[in-house]
Amino acid sequence: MPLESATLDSVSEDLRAALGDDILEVTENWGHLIVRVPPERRPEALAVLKAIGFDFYSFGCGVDWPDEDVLEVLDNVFSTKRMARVTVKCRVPRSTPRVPTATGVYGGADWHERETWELFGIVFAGHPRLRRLLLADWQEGFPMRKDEVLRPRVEKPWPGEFFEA
Amino acid sequence: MTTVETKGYFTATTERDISTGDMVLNIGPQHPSTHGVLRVVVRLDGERVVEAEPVLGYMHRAFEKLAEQRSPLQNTALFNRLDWISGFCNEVPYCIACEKLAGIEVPKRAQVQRVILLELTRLASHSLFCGVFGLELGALTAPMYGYRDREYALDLLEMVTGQRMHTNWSRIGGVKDDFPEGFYERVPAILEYYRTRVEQWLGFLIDNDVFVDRTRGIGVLPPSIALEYGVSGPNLRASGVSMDVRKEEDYLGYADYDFEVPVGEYGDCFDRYVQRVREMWESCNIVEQALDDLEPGPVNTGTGRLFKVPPGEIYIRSEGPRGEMGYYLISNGGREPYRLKIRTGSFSNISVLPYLLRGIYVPDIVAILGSLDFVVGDVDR
Amino acid sequence: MALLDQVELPKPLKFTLNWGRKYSLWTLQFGLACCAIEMAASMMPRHDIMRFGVIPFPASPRQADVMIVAGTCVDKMIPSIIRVWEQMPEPKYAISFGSCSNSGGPYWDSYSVAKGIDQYLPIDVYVPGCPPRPEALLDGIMKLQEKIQGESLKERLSAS
Repeated sequence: MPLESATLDSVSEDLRAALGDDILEVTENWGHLIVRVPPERRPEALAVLKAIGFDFYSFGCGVDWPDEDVLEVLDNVFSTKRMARVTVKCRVPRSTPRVPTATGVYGGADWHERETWELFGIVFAGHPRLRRLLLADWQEGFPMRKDEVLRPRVEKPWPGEFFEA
Repeated sequence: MTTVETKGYFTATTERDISTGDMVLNIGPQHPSTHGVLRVVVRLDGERVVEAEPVLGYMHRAFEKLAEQRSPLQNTALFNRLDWISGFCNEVPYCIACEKLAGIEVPKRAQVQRVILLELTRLASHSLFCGVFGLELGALTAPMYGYRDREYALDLLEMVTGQRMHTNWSRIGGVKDDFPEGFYERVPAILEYYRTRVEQWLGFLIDNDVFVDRTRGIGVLPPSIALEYGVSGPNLRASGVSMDVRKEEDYLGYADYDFEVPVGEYGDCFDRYVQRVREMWESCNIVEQALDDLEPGPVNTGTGRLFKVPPGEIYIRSEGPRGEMGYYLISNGGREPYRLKIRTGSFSNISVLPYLLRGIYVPDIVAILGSLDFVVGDVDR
Repeated sequence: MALLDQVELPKPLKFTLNWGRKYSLWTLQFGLACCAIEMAASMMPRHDIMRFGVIPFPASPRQADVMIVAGTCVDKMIPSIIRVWEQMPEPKYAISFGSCSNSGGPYWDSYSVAKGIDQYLPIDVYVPGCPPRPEALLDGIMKLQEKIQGESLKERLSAS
């Protein structure tokens, strides 16, 4: 059954009531809410969401926006009771990417934050043990950032590249 | 000085203190029971596990970075290899995400074909699980049955798509081609076979005292912990939470079919096993109803190879045999995705291992790892 | 048996010993990824590799003759693969099963995948495919058996 907009309205009301002016933006996108918060309010926003019924922590990831010189942290949570989904976004500058951790709110954020740290370089302050999850010890750099290129493609381009519209 | 008593027969005294220490045991990465290359480092106090930590990354192939360099057609071929036991189930949500962003309406016949192939893949995957779970508990003939059952569903998949595992069949706008001749005649017999196999799987291992002793009450996963860590799929439903993407979202026309979503009671290994066997039964029902639902029509809207996905972001999830398989697609108007986050079921399913493996005996480690039914390609991506 | 690597055997003896070796292979499966499923399927009732004399599951690498590397060889896993290979006693053979272990496969541009296991191990037979059908593995085993039949242990062991 499709998500109803009445549910999302009540969710955004609850969020505004709890976080007030800290919410930078609330948009509805393809049936789920996207909430932008300042990075230091990320744990509080997730705690508010958990209190109003968003019990399922779906995933957390990072996005690199080199044009705007920011890194973005996404958290996607779902409510099994209200059948609603919210994505919490916060942006940090690329030079000092530092975000407070959400492991106190959702236990599932532990591994997702470790993965986001090792792939993007975003430090999650307060994480119990922030260390590598997927990459090998000798891997250098933060591979998912846009300025890290795939070496094999540089040395020998894919032969299908000439086939452009 | 330490005194050691042995059942009151005699007492022995030693001059120095006997002290015990914890032993660190490394399971994997090359191990028959770890479903691939998962490494689990456990700290043991005698036979009991004090602490366990899975070490991932031995199959990290960087799908998310590779996806940023590939067109949708190439991505569809690539994503089969995520949850490699159920290849077709991984392509479909990506195609749906691109279709939704582009506003493409998929023809009804393509939807139904996607449902049929999805459920056949689910049958193949759960048959494999039943066989391999028996192997991990010591029933060495169980995988023979499991792989034999899987071959029948793979025969059907090969008849339609030409490939057994990595089907690469879903396209943006539908599927690649229509069913071949002779497909409709073969399916009812194979569904009947799977139905008898469900009854046999329920009796084969459940009537076995050793199996019940090794799985009942082992690895109990409470629903609150499961939801907090993002566990989904049969693992979550066995813990009592009825969460199934096929019932919750308007996705691939599943609302037209009449099927139940079984829910377990205790959330132990036994429930997780029975959960998957019951889901096989429901999959047979869905395939039967879907075959009646086929209308003549096109199977593809004909979007070409140079298709560019319009800008936007969307999260589409699907019910794979391992859990919720979702793609968060951020597109900036090019052929390749700007950022594609692959949310896999097995990654979240394994994140509860440090909780589940605490305080249990060593043989139960294998039972729990097997009952979670994860695939390391799904975990490490 | 200790003279096998120093003495060229007479033809009837060489034929008999090679015939015995090729029909009693004990394969260690290094099943890493999707190809592991197809490799296991070749050992199960429908494709049945045991009719070729190949017994699937040795108890340890020290008892194995052939190592089938099936699946993507991620850089993090390479030390384990090499360590298991070193544990196998001579004469040992390696089959590279699937395009990931042949050459990196679909992940040729990944930052964490080894572009073919033959950079680290000497491979005797390459089985192409993604994943190869179980029948392809049976064909690969047959090619390996032809290779074993025609080989001289002195050349093999002295060259290595």
